[in-house]
Amino acid sequence: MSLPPVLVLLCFVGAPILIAFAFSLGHTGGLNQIISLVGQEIYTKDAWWGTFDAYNSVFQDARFGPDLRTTLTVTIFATVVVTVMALGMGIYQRIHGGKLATIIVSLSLVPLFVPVVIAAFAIRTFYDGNGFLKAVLYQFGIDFPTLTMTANAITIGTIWTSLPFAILMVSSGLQSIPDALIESAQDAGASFFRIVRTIMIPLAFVPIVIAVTFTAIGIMGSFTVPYFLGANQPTMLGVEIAMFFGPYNRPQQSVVMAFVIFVAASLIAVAYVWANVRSAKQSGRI
Amino acid sequence: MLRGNTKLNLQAKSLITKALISLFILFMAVFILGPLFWLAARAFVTSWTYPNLLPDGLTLQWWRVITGDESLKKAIRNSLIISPIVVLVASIICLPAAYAFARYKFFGRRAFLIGMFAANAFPKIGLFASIATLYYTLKKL
Repeated sequence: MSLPPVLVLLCFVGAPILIAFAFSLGHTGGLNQIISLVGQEIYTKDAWWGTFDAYNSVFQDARFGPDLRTTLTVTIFATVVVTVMALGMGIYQRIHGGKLATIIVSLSLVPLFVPVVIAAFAIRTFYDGNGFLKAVLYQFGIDFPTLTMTANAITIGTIWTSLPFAILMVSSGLQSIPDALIESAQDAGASFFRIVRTIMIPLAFVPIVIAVTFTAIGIMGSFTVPYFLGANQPTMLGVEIAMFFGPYNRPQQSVVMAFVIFVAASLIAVAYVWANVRSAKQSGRI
Repeated sequence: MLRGNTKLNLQAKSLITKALISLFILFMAVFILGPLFWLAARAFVTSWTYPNLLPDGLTLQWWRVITGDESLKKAIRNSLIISPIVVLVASIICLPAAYAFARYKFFGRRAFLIGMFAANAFPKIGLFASIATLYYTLKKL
């Protein structure tokens, strides 16, 4: 029964990625034949395993450095903010409960039901030169900077779109902690922060790590939000991949950038696997 | 969610805490809903002069414009046809597999799960580029 998705994954994800990897190393024949004819600035292998010329040309491109820096900065900053917000709301909902907590959590789930394109466009108009924030603050005589077309706007947009998943994950993890544990710590005189640090976070550790890793990986490869909200240059690598593949007609470089993101995202994925192994060890499954 | 109504008496019940939480709710409301309302409002106005908080006039003109647009009708039809098909196919493929992964232990189970996660780590847009690369050639064959 697990065969169909594995086959789909192999055909539509595994095979294209492997073939693209060969293409990035300069294997321009076979299945990469047509793209090599169409694309410009194609590097062909000079050894049996291939060549790093395409990688070199990307790394020496003046656009790549700032793009990579923007991608990493936005990813780290947005992930930290999303995690802190999700933890804060999750802990508040778990410990306090009540109507206010429900309002906050349901508010933060709204982005789940809004298509990313529409969200990105809405955020773009909201923080634009004639947007709401600027107009409101103008009434108080404050000249608020235009955020649209900056990395700040990308960060705001990614936080907006990443919140629901992180909150669902973290709060469901926190909800599964038994009351008895928290109450007994309380009776023993543990402070609020001690309960959070020594009981809530360790017991919800795996869901929290899943939330963080999926958020970071999702942000790192995102296209729509930086495309609508960011500057032309520097932008995030997801946009640059689309630009190099389409308008600039440099498919090999675009594939190289995809692998740069893949390597960075894989490093994050290691954290996820490590957390799973840790939890398996703790519960004695390994 | 089972214990959603349970209240543990951990919270500081001071007014400052309440005020801070209300402020945070206000911030979240503006942050999450603000852009959506701001965008929705623009669908009904004639023009909007910065820095006025209210539009210059109301109109349904833009709705007439888009309902008369043929290419938009085609786009909506495409969305309505493609999305149910994708949902259906994805469910047919994934639901039995989810059951199998959850209930049975079989050879390569862990490897497949990690593989699916690894596939998620590859950027979507890069995957589209890779698939396009492949399909250019397949079309030619």
